[in-house]
Amino acid sequence: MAIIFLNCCQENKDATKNIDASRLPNRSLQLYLALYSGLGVIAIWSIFLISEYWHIDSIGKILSFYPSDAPGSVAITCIPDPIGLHYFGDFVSVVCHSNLGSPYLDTSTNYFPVAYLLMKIFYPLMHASLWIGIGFFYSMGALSLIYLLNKLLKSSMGVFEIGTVLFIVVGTAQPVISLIDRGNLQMIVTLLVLFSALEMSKTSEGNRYDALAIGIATALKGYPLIFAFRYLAAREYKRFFLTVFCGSIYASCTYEF
Amino acid sequence: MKDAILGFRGGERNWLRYNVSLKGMLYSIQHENLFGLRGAVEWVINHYLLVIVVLACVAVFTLIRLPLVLSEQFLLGAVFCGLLVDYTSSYVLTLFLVPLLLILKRDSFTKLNICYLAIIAFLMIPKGISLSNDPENHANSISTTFSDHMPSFASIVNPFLMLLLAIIIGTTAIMRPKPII
Repeated sequence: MAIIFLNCCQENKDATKNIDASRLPNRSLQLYLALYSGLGVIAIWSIFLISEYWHIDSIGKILSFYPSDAPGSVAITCIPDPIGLHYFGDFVSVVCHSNLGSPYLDTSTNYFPVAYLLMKIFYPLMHASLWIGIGFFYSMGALSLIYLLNKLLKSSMGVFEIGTVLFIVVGTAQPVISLIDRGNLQMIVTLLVLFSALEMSKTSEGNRYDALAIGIATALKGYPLIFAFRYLAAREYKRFFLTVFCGSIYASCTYEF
Repeated sequence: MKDAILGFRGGERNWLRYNVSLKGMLYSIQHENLFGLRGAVEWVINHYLLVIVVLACVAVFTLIRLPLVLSEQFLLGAVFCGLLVDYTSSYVLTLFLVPLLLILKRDSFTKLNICYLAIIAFLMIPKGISLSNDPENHANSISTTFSDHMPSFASIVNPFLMLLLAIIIGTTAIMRPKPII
């Protein structure tokens, strides 16, 4: 659907350039597809939420995990009241662990130390209310995504098309629904990798922020290190070592905090 | 309610239903004896460390030595991020949005790009449906629930699609005449 839509956008752009009146009705098709897809997004999210709140277990679990899954290995006093059924378990888990004296010595933690350092800023917000904490977390993610999408796609698409891509491609993907349901740190990792892709797609030599972003992503989850091997292919050894350095320094030095 | 749900988690590493890594696929095939492959898969599981080392070497070699465009490099990176670790939840697949957006950035769609987009689209479809027909433990129906320890379509199809992507990228890169980076 998205491909058809984008092809229509492209054709429409060409049509506008050539002032070919016969192709102008494509705008209606664009709007139709956008509306159709928008209803699809609303339908998917509605099915997900309704199935969770009515405990129609299997339908909700096709899309994500248990919404009522609170983090099991943290102090019960740290867990805030849920939003409806939703605990956003992964988010609450990391934020709660970040406030411990030595979260890195706790065997029940799943993340590298830098994750707790980054997420510590959400603790006072989450302590006030889960609404505020998770809202701030998602707002930062959404604004970053909009900014990066605009930067990445503005040369080939208009605002309407970018908005539709955001809505269709990102809004309907099951991994994204699951990510939002869990409040997982993967959101930050994906945004960092997207940022580095944006920097790498620039033709000019520029700065080394891309290597820094991959380094932080590596410090958060480990496996994004694989994206750094493209630097070896391009013989950009300084960037590769910067990534490895950032990954290791962020992951180890935060033990000191 | 808090007390009721605490202790609900545990042993999630064994939850085949949500594991979309290569290991998840192998355990799912072993569990269901799909295509009568249980024996072969058991051999692979017994030598899993060797398999992962070989796969990691293939990943690094492909990324370093083969002529790939930027979107393919990120696609391959996302594939191996998903496959190589022991437990991959479905949200890790959000990494595929990066190559997807890089492909959309281009002005025209080649057949190869459309092929990549189609496979990514299949990856993004929800597949948490039971694979088994055993009516006692888990029913093969959307309307009934089944155990988290049972394999789902996601645990079989998603790793397979990621492997398919890696094979397509590798094959097309080998057939390319000269580096395009």
